[in-house]
Amino acid sequence: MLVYIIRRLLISVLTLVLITAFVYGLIRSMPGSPLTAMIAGGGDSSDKSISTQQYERMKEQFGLNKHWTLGYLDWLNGVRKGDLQNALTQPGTVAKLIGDRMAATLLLSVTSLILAYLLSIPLGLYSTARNGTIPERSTSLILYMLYSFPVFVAALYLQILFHVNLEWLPLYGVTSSNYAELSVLGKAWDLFLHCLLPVTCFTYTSLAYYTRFIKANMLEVVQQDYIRTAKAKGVGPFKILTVHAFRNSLIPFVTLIGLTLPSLFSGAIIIEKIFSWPGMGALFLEAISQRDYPLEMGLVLMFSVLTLMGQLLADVLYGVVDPRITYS
Amino acid sequence: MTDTLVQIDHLKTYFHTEDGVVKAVDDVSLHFDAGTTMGIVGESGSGKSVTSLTIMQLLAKSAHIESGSISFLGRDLVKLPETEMRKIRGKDIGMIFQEPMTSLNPVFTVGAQVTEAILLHQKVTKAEAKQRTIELFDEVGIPDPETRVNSYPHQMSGGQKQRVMIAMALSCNPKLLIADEPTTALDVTIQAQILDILRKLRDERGMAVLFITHDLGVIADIADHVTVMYRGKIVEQGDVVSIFENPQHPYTKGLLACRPRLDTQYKLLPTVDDFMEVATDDKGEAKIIEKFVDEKRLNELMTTGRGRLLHPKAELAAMGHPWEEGHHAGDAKMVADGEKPLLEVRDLHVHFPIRKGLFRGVAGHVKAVDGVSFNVYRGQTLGLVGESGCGKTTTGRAIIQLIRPTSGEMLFDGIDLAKLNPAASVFDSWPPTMLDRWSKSKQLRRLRRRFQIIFQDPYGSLNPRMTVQAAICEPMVIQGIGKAKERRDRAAALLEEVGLNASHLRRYPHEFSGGQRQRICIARALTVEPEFLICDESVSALDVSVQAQVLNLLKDLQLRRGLTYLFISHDLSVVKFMSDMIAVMNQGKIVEFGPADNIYANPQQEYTKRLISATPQDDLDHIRRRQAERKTALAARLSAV
Repeated sequence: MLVYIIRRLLISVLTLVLITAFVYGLIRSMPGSPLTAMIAGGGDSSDKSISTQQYERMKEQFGLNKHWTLGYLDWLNGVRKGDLQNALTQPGTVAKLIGDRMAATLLLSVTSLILAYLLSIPLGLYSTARNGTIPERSTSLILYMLYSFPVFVAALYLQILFHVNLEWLPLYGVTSSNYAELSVLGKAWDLFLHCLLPVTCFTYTSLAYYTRFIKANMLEVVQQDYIRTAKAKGVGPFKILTVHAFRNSLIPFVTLIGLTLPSLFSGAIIIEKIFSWPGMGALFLEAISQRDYPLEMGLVLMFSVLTLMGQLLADVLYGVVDPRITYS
Repeated sequence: MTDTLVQIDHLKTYFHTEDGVVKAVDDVSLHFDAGTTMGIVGESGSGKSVTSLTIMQLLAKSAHIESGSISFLGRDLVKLPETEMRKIRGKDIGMIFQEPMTSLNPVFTVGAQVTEAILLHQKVTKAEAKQRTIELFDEVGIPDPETRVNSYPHQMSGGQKQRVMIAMALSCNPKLLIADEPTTALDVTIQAQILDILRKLRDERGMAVLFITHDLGVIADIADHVTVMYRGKIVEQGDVVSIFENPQHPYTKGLLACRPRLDTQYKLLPTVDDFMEVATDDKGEAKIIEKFVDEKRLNELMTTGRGRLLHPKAELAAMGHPWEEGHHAGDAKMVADGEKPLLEVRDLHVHFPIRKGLFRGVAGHVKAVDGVSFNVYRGQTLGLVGESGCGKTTTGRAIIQLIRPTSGEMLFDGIDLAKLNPAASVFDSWPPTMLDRWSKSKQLRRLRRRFQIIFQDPYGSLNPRMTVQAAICEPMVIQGIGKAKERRDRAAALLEEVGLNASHLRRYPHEFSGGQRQRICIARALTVEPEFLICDESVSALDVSVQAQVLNLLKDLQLRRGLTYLFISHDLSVVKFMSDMIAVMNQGKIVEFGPADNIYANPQQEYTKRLISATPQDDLDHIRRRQAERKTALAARLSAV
């Protein structure tokens, strides 16, 4: 197992270098650069007209005068030392910028993921047991309607209902303006209230997806011969579903977990915009539109690492949930 | 010992499908006593499995019990609520199934699965249940039971898994054991062991067994009474000796006759169709009309076709089976001295690497095929027989380059096929050129029209999304034979030749039965007019009655088209019926090679003898001997009580 993980990690490092080199090349060959973005980016035209010397000086300062391969090697060398460089268009290092946004993003995504699992697993099992009955069909119809309901519409309606009409919940942001003055309990309550609407929006769409996924896998499993064996020895329907069948349907579920890991950190641009949530999605958009090369590369590196770790995690978990898979 | 344990009266189980009602079990009545073994025999679709599932109340949702009753221990199982039925399942009635590979839950240890059954029905602690499981494992002959209880199903062989299933079924001392084709998926030697265990446990515990199978040979080995089912109805019932000695119903007669026996003298097998035909009367009810097999037909079956075609004289002598006049069956012939074999396999090795460690270094090899050599002459059938894992299938696939051979020569009509395998040829010409590899793979593809393969599973080897016409025409398209219209005509003609008809061309595989699908596979293989056919367990998945038809078809095609066969099977009686020469394989090597009749009459190797003795026998002496053994065992048990 250990040998397997080490081997996978070595391969991952190689993959990372290839991905980042490819992306760096792509970014550099896009039209525009951080400088053009800065020059074009607002303010009075008099301030922004910079001399050729100034332009060349900044180019050198940002390392844009070098060929992209050398630029990449510089960046890679920095990564090796644990330095992701400073962002070009925002104050602070890339690492700090990402770190600041991470907490807000994870608060939203992890809460909603846990909530989605907690609701979809029982719903999936229920749908399997009652497959084809009217209550099951109604449940799945409602879930489908939610699935296809656009999140920006839902968010706006929720805001109108809970903020404007009922005045129960705050409109946007992570905390209230008087957050610093609140007691510990008060801070937690304040966070909770702010989270409620974005988490709801984040969760309801994935609910139908997960429920459907679990049900489809369970329906496949309950037709297997070993389920018939369990029935033949007198096991009751509840235990058959929760013990004999569910353990087996965890195997495809693990794949899903591996694939969701990066998306936990990626944020959701629409929800973040609507609720003014300072998350990763917004940061990504800023980095790309302003051609902030170090910031873009920092984000790409993070997602590549997360994707590869997600895959590795899934493969390791296969070994845990499925005794047929061993790594030796 | 004469109390009726199970009494089934006028049972009707129907399936309500989109295409109408299927009468799977149609007015079935049978009963058997405590301590006896009832065998139900019939082909797939005869309703034998549905009968057993009805007793267990484990039917699919689309099935419905229309009427009838099943009385067991004074209760009618049909009327019993599900919660009550659950207490009977696993406790009073144990059940084992056909597929040991899939019948155990892959994510739990085998011990836990047996322990679960004990804990469900008995008031014992977990530790006691585990101890009981170990004892049961010991009883069903699993070596080292203390360790094996912690194994997962995939770590056990098929035979061992079936032993676990038996342990599970017997864990609560049931009064009735239902065994639904428990040995069909197993090798003959393992089948013999499992039947031994079942006989022993049955006699020791005095339980009743309902044994379901399509194979009368197995029935002869275990049952006291036999019920023969056909299309949902019982056609004959009786005790085992009278069924085998004096079968009354034409279907029973047909079933008994169509099994290839090790000592059979037939050149073609009689089929059920020789004994009866099914006509539909005015009301749409099927009616069975008996036909009589006369001398003329028997004579035809004995003499149609050619005699065995043995290797040339020198080779026979070299393998220790010298040609002796009158020693071989009347019309056996030898290949003329000096004739070149159509296929010559020289020292074939297929090794699969086992990779380990950080850099996936090769730590060892699984030697699937380990130095196999043989000749097949034009027009001959070479039978390759052995148990699962002996390397017979790998040999067949390596010859036609579906698997890359590790080393060895495979000369087909003088051309070494291994050298043409593009995967193997990288180092043959250095530096490798794309052109060279391309031309070799093209040569191999050209040659492929001269040899074809028919696989075991007629369900898996036809693409479900391709019509029969598309499937049959595809090899012709690949080989560039004919125009679309010609290909279609040829496909139609071939379907006629294999006993189907042109109207089947537009249908999809799922609309056919297993036997019909195998006929389609045969037609597909024949489209390119091959000289050489590999039949890899091609009849193993078929019912005995259908198997006889397909075997006859293969023999018939050989005679008409002068085909050469490599016939691979685990079933010695089938191989002996089909083959001129037999090669017995074990652990990647050929252990015995010789003329089919000699191998059977005078086996030299211990392994061959074991295979022969494990093959089920259904002669009356054997059945009477079994029954006598059973009486002694019962008497011993009674005196012990």
